[in-house]
Amino acid sequence: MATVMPDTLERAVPISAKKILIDNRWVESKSGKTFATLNPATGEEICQIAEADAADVDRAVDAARAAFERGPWSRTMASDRGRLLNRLADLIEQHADELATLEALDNGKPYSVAKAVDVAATVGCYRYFAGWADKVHGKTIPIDGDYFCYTRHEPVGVVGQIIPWNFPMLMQAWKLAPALATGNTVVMKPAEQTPLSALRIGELIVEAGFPEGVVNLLPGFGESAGAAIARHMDVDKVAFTGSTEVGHLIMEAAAKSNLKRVTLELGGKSPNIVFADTELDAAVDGAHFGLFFNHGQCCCAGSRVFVEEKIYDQFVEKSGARARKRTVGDPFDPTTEQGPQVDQTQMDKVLGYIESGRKEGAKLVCGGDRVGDRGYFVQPTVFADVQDDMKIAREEIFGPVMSIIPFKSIDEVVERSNRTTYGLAAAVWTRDIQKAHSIANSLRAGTVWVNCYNVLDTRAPFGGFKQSGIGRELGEYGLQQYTEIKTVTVRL
Amino acid sequence: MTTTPYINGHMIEVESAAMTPVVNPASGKTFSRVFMARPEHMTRAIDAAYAVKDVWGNTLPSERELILIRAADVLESMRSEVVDLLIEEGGATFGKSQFEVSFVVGVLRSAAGECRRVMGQTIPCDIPGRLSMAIRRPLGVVGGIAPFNFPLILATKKVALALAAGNTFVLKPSEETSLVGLKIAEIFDKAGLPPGVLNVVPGDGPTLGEVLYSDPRVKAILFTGSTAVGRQIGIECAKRGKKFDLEMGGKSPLLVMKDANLKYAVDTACFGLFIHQGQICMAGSRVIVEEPVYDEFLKLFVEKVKSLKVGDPRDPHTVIGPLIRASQCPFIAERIESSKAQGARVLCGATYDGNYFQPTVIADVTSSMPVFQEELFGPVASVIRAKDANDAIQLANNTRYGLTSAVITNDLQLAMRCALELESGSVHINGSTIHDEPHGPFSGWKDSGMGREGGQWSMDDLTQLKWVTIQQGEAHYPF
Repeated sequence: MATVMPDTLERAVPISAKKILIDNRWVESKSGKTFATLNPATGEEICQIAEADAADVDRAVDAARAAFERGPWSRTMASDRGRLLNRLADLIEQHADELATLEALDNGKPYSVAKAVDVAATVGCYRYFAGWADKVHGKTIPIDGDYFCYTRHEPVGVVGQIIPWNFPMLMQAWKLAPALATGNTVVMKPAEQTPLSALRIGELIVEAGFPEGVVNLLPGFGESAGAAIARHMDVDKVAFTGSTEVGHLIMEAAAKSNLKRVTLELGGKSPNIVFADTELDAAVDGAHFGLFFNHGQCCCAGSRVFVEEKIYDQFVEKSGARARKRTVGDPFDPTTEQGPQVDQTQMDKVLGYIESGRKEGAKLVCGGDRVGDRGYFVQPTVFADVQDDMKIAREEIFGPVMSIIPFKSIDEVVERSNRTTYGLAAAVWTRDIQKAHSIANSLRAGTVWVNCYNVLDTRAPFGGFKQSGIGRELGEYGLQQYTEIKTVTVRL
Repeated sequence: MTTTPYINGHMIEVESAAMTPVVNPASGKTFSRVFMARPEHMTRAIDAAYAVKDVWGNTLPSERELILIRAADVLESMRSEVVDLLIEEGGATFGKSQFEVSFVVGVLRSAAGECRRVMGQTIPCDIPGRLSMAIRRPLGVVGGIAPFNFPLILATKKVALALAAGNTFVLKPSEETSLVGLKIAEIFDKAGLPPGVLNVVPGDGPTLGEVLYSDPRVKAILFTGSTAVGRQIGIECAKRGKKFDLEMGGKSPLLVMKDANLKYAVDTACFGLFIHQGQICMAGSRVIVEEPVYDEFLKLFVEKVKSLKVGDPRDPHTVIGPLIRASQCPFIAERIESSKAQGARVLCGATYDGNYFQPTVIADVTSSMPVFQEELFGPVASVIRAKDANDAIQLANNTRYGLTSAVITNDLQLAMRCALELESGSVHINGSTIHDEPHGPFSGWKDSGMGREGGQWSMDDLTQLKWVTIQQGEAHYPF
């Protein structure tokens, strides 16, 4: 592992949006409380942010309801919604440097990645759903009898959205863009670890001309603001991305309150299966990217790397060598591949898993420790000889820890890959078309990559089988999650 | 047996002297007689279809569905009779005839499922208070012209999907399989299809075809047959603003890549070419083999081709039956001779007796030879040596046709490349060039086709869209 750790670890950027956005106005929380958002590279406070709780959620829901039912938004034509989304995309593009800086500062991801991936994909997402706004078609249906029957795809209403900290700006786009394209109004809680980019985009939303009450942003904590959204009697749908544990709570709250619609994007323990007939170096690089991208903080991280026995030793050696070369350090240094984990809690959790891997007898190939004593940096860590029943092979670590596991046959690896409560993503590396497609058909996962990893596109649906989620985001499928279908039958 | 045109729910009555003999292509013997209709019969058929188009177009989807399901059941119950006719009139082998009947039962059931799915769309509207939608309405009278090679499949596909969409139909079966065409009328008649909805008029193609495409009441022509005739029909339809779907000839390539399992490749090549003596538009008549496995492939291929049984189509072991007409044989032989003169090597076959043409393998075929470029519609495999995969793809695309293609390889990247780069309406990986399903989008690129046949794609082609808007309250106009 190479480290790049100068003294500064931050870059000056003006931070204007620190409050709650309700009805296009920036307000303090009702309680007057604030919380600190930290720079994970140093552990130091960046600034204080207004802390929303249940009382603020009530205000925001009222605003969103009024906008949905009575405000200008309720009369905004579909094509105008598309125009507003395109305008927002333009503004984000114009502020790309600033937004990438905020993201790197608040989240710890390398600035270069934030700009090339997060900002670019965010712009693409808003533009893609802008294009959909006037194309959300219902059907005319030839039912029996003298009737004329058709369906309308109408917005669900007031939508609560709770987004995570790993791709703050992009996850905001994944949720906001389809909701707005289809005419919903939104009450959104950004993650408490990373509120800055979401709030700055809130300013751009107002600037783009979205009417008051359409997008309301409530920085705060899950237990208070998040829970208030999930149980609110006047929220029609809640969309959540985060841990499976919290996903259960959201669904329970939705069920106990008003049966609001629920879509969930949750955890994963995704298998990445490497066959001996693959191009080895490409698979090593692909597995490295599949796990270490975003410091392992991806729900779809390929955290169980199954490698066919014949090439196992070679694969372990090459993966160790690749991980040792990974540059960890200052998010603003252009050579940095990996910044800090998002906060102390995450770092401690990751280090705890590494410890458990050691204790349970996995072979530590490289890494295994914290980097330095400032910020939340963890060494890229590779474990070999991992057994399926070890904690590091079963639980989502959400950090830079790769587990490499040997396998012998196709049937065996399919069965072991599927032996998990998760089902978010999977990958297979092989040159053989038969193996590729038989594995792709057999894996119980929402996404299967063949000879690649982490290839996500706004146009292709993403989401989980089993306890990795309910519903899909992105693409036309994602759009469907934000409409109610109304059947109209007219007697002729 | 129905032997005269089926118009408005009845076989028309004709003098027995006006009937033409129907000859079994295998035995050369007359086994039945049929009346070849004149232009006025075609006009009467169009009259009948036109008269009931609105009634049928407004029939409940569930009623159309029921008739199509019943037709499938009727055909099942008539299986042995229909198989017999396919052998007797079309020269099909026993196995091919059984397959054809089973496939058509599936076509009818699949089409039945389309009746309830003739959906349009509701569309967000930019004018306040206006509801906007696109609905689908039947075309009215649709005409179909079907070929002799799969006379039951290729006619019933057209009829069933058109009826499912609410159209009435006039079918002109191939001159060579008129009785099979009339059998379709019989099946629908027994299934309870009201008179006039389907009319079947056998007869001379150019004469009756002209009546069909010239009549302004016929709104679309669905054609399967040769590229030359298809193109002409397309032109005539275009002149009259009529819709048309064309499914035409092919010179489909099977690519055998160097990593292929050669035994499987040989089996695939044999099935893809020799079923029905190569008289299939999808026939894999060009087998393009990568250099390193070329000689070995040829050896195994010739071995298997020599073992294919030629003879009585009723014998369940027969693979190669008669060609539809004896005149095909000299046509094919001539193309082989001129290719030989350019350096092609005949490894087996290339001889004929009556309308039986021996299964033939020609090696070292190059792109300038007639057996590379022309559709022979016979049991002749042209084997072509490719330097590498790039060369194979280039050779495959070096044709005016583009119906189907197939590739035998386990190489994932190469397979996906072929899927994208081969210029044809279908690409089948590790399968034969011959593959069809009622609900797949079937037809060709280039000189092989226009429009698509099957499932929702047919429903799109066989209906017309109407944009309907409904203003709530009053619209605001600028003046």
